[in-house]
Amino acid sequence: MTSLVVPTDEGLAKAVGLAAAGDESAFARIVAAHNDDMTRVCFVICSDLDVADEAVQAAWLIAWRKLDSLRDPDRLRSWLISVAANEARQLVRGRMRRTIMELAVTDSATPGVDPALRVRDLDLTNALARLDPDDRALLALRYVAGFDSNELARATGRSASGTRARLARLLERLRTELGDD
Amino acid sequence: MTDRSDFEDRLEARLRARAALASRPFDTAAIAHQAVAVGARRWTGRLEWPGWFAVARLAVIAVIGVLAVGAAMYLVRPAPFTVGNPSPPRSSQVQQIATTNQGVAMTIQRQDPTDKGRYYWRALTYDQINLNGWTQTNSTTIVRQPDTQLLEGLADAVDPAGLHSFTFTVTPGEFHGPTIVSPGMPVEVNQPTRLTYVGHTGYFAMLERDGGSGPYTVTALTQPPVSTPGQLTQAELRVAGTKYPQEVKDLYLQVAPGSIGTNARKLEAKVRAEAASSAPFDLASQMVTELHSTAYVYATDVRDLACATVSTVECFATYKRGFCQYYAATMAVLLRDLGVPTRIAEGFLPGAVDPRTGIETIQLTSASTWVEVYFPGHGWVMFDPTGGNLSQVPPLPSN
Repeated sequence: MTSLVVPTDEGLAKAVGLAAAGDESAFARIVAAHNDDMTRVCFVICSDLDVADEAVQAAWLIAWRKLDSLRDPDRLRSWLISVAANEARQLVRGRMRRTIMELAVTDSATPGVDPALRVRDLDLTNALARLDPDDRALLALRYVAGFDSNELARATGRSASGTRARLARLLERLRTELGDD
Repeated sequence: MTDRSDFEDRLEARLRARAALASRPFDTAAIAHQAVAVGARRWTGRLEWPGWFAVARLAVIAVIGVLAVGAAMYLVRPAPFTVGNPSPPRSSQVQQIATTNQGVAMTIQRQDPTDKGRYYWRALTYDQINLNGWTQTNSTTIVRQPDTQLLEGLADAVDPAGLHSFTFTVTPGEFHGPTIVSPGMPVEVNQPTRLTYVGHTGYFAMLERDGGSGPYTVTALTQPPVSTPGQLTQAELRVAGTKYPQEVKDLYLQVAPGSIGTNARKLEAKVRAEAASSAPFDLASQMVTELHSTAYVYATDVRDLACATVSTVECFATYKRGFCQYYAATMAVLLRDLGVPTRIAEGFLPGAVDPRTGIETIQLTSASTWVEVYFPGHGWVMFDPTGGNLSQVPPLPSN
């Protein structure tokens, strides 16, 4: 077995305890297991790799400081992703306040990607750009991170039923905008 | 009009494909250290510093500022990987327990269904071996377009003459990151890739897809299969000599101070004494023989060993218990100390091939670590020192 594969939940649960006690190498194991998922979620929220990276790094700082407040290690993944998504949401909101930011319609992340693929994805990119950062976060948490309604509720601070209703409205809007009828 | 679940499925697939564009290599240790260092710095700021420390404090703050700017510049992702950009190095820590998630890592379809070779699927190599892990140093990433020669112009380019050309298509399962797996040396991929190498002359470190997350097709050059003409022999490797390129010596002979303690030194002496000769091939073969012996126990949980303050090599030489990472670290480091260049390889052991479809299924639990040894004129040859009857490397013919 090698670090190619994410450690089991059991292994990570132990790492949480060690990292909360100040073990940097245990913290690095947690980073190895979750950094990629956090970056993916943040990228969908930010549409910008640099901003996504900034959000994830800020989330790791929070994680290091508050890991000992995580009572249930089984919720480590959802907690980390929620923290990162929140940082991404705030970064995007901050930038929108400072300037009227037009979210990029081409990906800074994909300089070598076939232009045809970019064009095919433009409608989704544009639809995402028109959404509120909170809505993009909701989509990313549900469909990229795979959160269930309870995890979504904890991440957004709303009720599970309220989150489901909001997601349903969001899907209807996107279905219309993407012409997927 | 389709129902909502259909739309959700399509939306999910598109969002995930979009999110995958953000998936790139990252430096685990640097990210963790950055968070820890910034957290510590904030705490330090609460201390009451003596007045006469004011100048020193300003100097410290200035130094930290410069380091922070440097670190930030370093951490900023290589602006879109263009030719010659440095890439964030991969690193890996030796663990105490070898458990992993269950599931199919990937399935592999061979272009030639009659090819019955048992292949190790390598994903990464590491040049630097630390006390309890390994890393890629001074790495460079270049973009390669589809169907171009990946290693052209680099030191690890192999001469196709006499080698076996092997084409296969990988369909990622749970192992769905950008990293491409291949036996031997990958030479072509059917989509844009990012090739990371170490050293100025170019030794393979890893190959990744430059976007996309679906199946990919690779052509690799491997040693001819067992019992076929042209197969590499023990005799050829035994006379390969020790005239290593300077950069091979610089990168692959380094031994971190503190790696070899009393027991590791005894093990090294035993291998040297029992090897058929001082030729690197005989030293490597004897190391595998020693580590495959019953004196060593394959164990997936070594949390009970008192190894917190010693290197992985000394831990394994002392307790003789461990899993692939322990066996590989021990072989790689002790051979380096004997003057034989080695690197650590990570990937997957051969999987089960469905005789009806020819599809090979690789399980996540097959992830493993092994060793590659450099032989002048032949390049890198793999050895799997892991015990527990897990090694699936067939012996080379004598001559």
